[in-house]
Amino acid sequence: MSYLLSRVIVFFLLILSASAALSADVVHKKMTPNYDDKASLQRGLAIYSNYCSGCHQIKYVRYSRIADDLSIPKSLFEENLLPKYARMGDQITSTMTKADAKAWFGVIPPDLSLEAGRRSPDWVYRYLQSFYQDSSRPYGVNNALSPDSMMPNVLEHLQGERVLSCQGITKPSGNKYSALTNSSYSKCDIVDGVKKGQLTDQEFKQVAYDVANFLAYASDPSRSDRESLGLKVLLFLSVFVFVTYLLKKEFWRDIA
Amino acid sequence: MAFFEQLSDWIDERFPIKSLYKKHFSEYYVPKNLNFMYVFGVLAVFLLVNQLLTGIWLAMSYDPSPDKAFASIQYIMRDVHFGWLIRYLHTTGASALFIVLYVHVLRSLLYGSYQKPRELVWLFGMTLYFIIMIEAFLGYLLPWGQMSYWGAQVITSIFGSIPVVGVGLQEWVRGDYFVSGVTLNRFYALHVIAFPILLLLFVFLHLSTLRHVGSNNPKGVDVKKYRDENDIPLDAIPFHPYFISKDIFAIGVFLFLFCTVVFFFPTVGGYFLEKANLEPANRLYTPEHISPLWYFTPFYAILRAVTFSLFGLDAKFIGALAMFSSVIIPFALPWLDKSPVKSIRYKGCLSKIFLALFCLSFLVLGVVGMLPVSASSTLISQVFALLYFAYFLLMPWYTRYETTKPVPERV
Repeated sequence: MSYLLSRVIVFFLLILSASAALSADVVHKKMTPNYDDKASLQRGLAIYSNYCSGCHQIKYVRYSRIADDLSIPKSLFEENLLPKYARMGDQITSTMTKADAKAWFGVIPPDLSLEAGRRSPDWVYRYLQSFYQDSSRPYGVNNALSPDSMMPNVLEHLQGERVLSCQGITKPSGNKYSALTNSSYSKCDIVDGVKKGQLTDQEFKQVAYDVANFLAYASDPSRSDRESLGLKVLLFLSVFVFVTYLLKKEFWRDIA
Repeated sequence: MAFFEQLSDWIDERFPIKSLYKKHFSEYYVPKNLNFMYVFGVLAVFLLVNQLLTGIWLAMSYDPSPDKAFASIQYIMRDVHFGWLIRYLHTTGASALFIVLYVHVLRSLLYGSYQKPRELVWLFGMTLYFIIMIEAFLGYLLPWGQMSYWGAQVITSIFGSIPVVGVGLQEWVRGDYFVSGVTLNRFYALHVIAFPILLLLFVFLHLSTLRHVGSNNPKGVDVKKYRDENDIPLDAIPFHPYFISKDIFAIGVFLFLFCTVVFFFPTVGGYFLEKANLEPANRLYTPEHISPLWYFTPFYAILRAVTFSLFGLDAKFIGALAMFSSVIIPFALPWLDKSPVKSIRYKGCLSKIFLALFCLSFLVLGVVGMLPVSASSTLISQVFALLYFAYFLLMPWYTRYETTKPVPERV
């Protein structure tokens, strides 16, 4: 049975990947967070620590909470993941001052504690894949999901350069699509550029997934506790409802 | 056992505990034909207790200052033991209370529970609903998210539309030129002290007037008319144990649904907890689309339906008047209904059509109130706002002229 099921799933995955291959767009749009996939969450934490944490804080989350929730031993966490200035019970803040952030990026990089809740995990997933080369922007890249975003593509050496390929829109000046409106973006695809990154498109997709998964967890860390307690509560309530139903029936038996 | 008898005797000599128990439980007679629509009152009481208890525990960790309010909510959600549970019980409880109240009110409309002799029960009940609306509005500012802030900004700005005194009144309500820390502090004080006390007072009045006149029933017949040799109504049964056991079962079923939401879908896709509220309040950035939580959207749609000025009065002011009237007009229901019968079962065709249209208009206005304004949404809300008011304003006419069916003598 499970063998058959897995064959069917593989078959559908093949069809899906074939249809994905038909369009040149490399951006995958949908992801489902999985809090039980601790390996993915841990990889997401690693990417956050290495690439994001310099600018983006997740100040509502504490180091110790992450260590607990992602099943990382405290000693290991303290040795390898805890910054020198922080303690395990601290909230995860960035060391960049607001004034510096303003001077360097023009904006204060948003706190990411609630980003996946405020937008959606899908949004984070797509955002990381939607950078493309645009020499008119200060960091040489633009983002199709959030046009004129001030964030540099910090994952570029993993991802490789990507370019925007638009149908039916002429490039107005130079070799750039400047001043694209949101609606015109829908006619555009993001395709691989010349310069390749360290990862394949498939591997990079996993990186984007892990970050989105980690931020989804960070925005709603109680979900695992909630659902496991919820199951017990509902189980109790079904017994309670059954017993009270019998009680009610017993009392009401003599009422015509 | 002898000890408890002695104890109850001792108390009874000083406080009439035995006669109270008889009057309100063992010898309080309730019509035996009450259907499931009659459990929503006890569910509302249950939810009010839930709001009160979870509210007390939230207040222990919440900080009502503009700098810390938003962060203290996250502190509750992440660092306080079972803080997420307490908060989700409170937020889900608020929405659930409105669902329960809307069904509770619909029950009254269906079976004519507002008619003589229950006018005071209805008036106290509607006052309670009005108080709960204000309580919910005040509480919604406290998380200090973007939608909290701009929702409060929009609703308090309604005061500013009143001619002559408006601007001053708006400032007086906010305590500032815009919604600020002063507003947050006074909303907190009102939300946790003033309105809960008022609420408890009106729950007491609502329940004690109800206990005095007794419950209506789906047939709308007077069960007190026919009594046996012991003067006990023939078609009524004591509250305890019959309705106590029924209510406990109802609470169990309700809790099952309620907990499914609390534990598995606490945001209900943005309807119970809005995504935009996960961003801290920012006075310098107005969200593109501001809408209240779902339970206010029918009234919000009526506010936005008025797009024309009249008699030199601002459209916004007329809209505010329309919105206010839509909440106030149900108070007049006992005197608008001229029907000789109570229950919809014996009323005529027109009553049924108007009630159905009223329910439809409430739902449609609720949906339209969530959407961004467009030409078609304005037109739809205007048409359905008229239907909403038609139910009340035409009631004296259609209830008097329709032919009713004969009401049975007993249930």
